[in-house]
Amino acid sequence: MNRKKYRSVLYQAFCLFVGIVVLLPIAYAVLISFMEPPEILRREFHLIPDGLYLGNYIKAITKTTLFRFMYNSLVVAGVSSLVRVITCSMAAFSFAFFQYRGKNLIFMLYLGSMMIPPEILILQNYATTAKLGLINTYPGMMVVFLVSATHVFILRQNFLSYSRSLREASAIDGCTNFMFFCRVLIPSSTSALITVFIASFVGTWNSYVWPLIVTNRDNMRTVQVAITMLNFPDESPHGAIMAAAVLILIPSALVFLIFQKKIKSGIMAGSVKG
Amino acid sequence: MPVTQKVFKKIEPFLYLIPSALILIMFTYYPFGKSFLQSFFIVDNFGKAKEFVALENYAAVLGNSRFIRAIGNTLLYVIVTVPISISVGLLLALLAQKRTRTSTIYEAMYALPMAMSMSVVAMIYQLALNPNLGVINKFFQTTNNWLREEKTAFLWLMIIQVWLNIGFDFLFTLSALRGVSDEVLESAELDGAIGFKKLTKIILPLVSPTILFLLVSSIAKAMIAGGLTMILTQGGPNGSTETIVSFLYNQAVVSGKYNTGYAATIVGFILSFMLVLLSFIYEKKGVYYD
Repeated sequence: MNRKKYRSVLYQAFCLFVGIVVLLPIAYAVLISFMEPPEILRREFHLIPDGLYLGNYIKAITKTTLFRFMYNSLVVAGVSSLVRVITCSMAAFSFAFFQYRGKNLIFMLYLGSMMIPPEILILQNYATTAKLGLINTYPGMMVVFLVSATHVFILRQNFLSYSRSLREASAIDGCTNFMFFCRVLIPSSTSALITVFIASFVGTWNSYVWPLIVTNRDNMRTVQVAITMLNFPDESPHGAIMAAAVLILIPSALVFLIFQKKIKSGIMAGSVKG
Repeated sequence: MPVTQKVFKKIEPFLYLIPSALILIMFTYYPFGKSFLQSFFIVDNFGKAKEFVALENYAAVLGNSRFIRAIGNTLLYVIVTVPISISVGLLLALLAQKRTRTSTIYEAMYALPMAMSMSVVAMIYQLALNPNLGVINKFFQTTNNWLREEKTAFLWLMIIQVWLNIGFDFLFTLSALRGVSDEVLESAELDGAIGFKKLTKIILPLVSPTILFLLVSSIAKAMIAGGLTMILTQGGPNGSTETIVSFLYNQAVVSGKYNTGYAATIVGFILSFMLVLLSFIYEKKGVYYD
C-alpha cells in the first residue's frame, strides 16, 4: 500500500514537472519582466531575476497607452460577443421552432459559411469596411465577428432539446412567439448563451489579423496588435515588452481558468461527433 | 384572421433571421462571390472591374514564385504542425488521464496554451530567439539569428504553432480518453492487450472520432495561418516563411495589388477546401464508431 502511494506521488510530481515544461515560454516572459535592463543584456545564461524589479511594469503602463489598448480590446470583444449571442440565438430560434419552406436550404447556407475561412476574405471585407467609412472605428473592428454559424448551430441544438409541450402551453396562454423567445426561452438557456459568449469573447480578444487591417491609428489598436508595435525610445525595450505581455495574458488566462468547463463544452458542442 | 396577421405569420420566422443573414451575406458570401468574379478582371484602385482578362490573373499569380513558395510553405505547415500537435496533445492526455489529487492542476497547465494569444506568444519567442539576448542561444551556446536564416526561420514558426495548438488538442483527447469505459479497457487487458498494443489496438480506435474532428479543424486552421509570419518574419528571409494568408496581406494591404490578390484568394480557398475534403476520407478509412 505504501509503495503504491509512493508511486502515485512520484507520478503526480512527474506530471506537474511536464506542466512546467509546457508553460516554459510563459515563465520566461514573467522572469524577464522582473529583470533590470542590464540583467537582460547580460551575456551569460541568466533566468532568475536578482530582485523583484518593477520598473518594467511601470514603464509598460506609463510610457505606452496599454490601458487604452486593453479598453479597445474589451469593447470590441465584449460588444461583438454580446451582439453575436443575440443574432445567433434569434437565428437558432427560427431554425428550431418554426416550420417554413426553404428552412433546410437556408440552414445549409448558414453551415456552408463555415467552409469559407474569414482570413481569406480580408481583401474584400477591408474594401467593404472602407466603403462604409468604418476604418478606425469600433463597429469596423467588430463587423466580421458578429455572427458565427458554429454558434447558431450550437444554440439550435440546445433549443431543439427544449420541451415542445412548454412552447405549446405558453401559446395557449396567449404568449406570442416573440414573448416566448424573450421571456421563456432566453432566460432558461442562460447556460448555453454564456458558453457562446465566453467562447466568442476569448476568440475575439485574441484575434489579430482583422483588427490589424482595419486600424491604422494608434489609439484604435487592440492589445494584440499594439503589443507587436510597442516602442520605447532611448532604452532597451525588452523588459517592458515582456511586462506588457504578462499584463495582457493575465485577463485571458483568468477568464480561461475560471470558465474552463464552459469553454470546453462550448467547443465540444461545436463538434458533431467526439 | 385579419390579412396583416396572416402575412405576419408567414414572414415571422424570417424576421428572426434578418440580422444574422445580413451579416453573413455582407461579410462572407458577398466578398466570396465578388473575389471570385473580380479574379477574372483587371481591377482599378477603387475596386472597379475594368477589363475582362479571363485567367490572366491566375496565370500571373501561379507564375509568381513567391506565391508558389507560399503554397508549398502552407502545405508543409499543415503536414508538420497538425500531426505533431495532435500527437503531443494525445501524449499529454494519456499522461493526465488518471484522476489524481493534483490532476486538476496539471490539466489546467497543459490546457493553458490555448488561452494565450498568438501575437503575445510571438513577442515572447521573438525575445527568446534574439541572437544576442535570447535564452535559446544562451542555453545552447549558439549564435544563430534563428528568424533571419532561411534554414531555421520557418522551423521556429512551426514550433511556436505547435505550442499554441497543444492546449486545444489536449483538452479534446483528454475528454475522449476519459469517455472510454473501464470495462472495455479491463477486458482488453484480460485478453492480453497491454502497453503499446493496448494503445494502438484498443484506445486509438475508440478515440478516433475525436482525432478526426481535431484533424479536420486543425487542417482548416493551419491552411489560413499567417499571423506568426506577419509578426515575426514578414515572409522573409527570401520568402521562406511566406504563407498564403501572409501573401494575401502583402499583396493587397501592403502593396495594393488587388488583381492577383483576388486570384490568390480563390486559389487559397480551393486548396484549403480540397485538404479538408481529403481529411474526411480518413473518416472512411480509419474511424470506428460503435
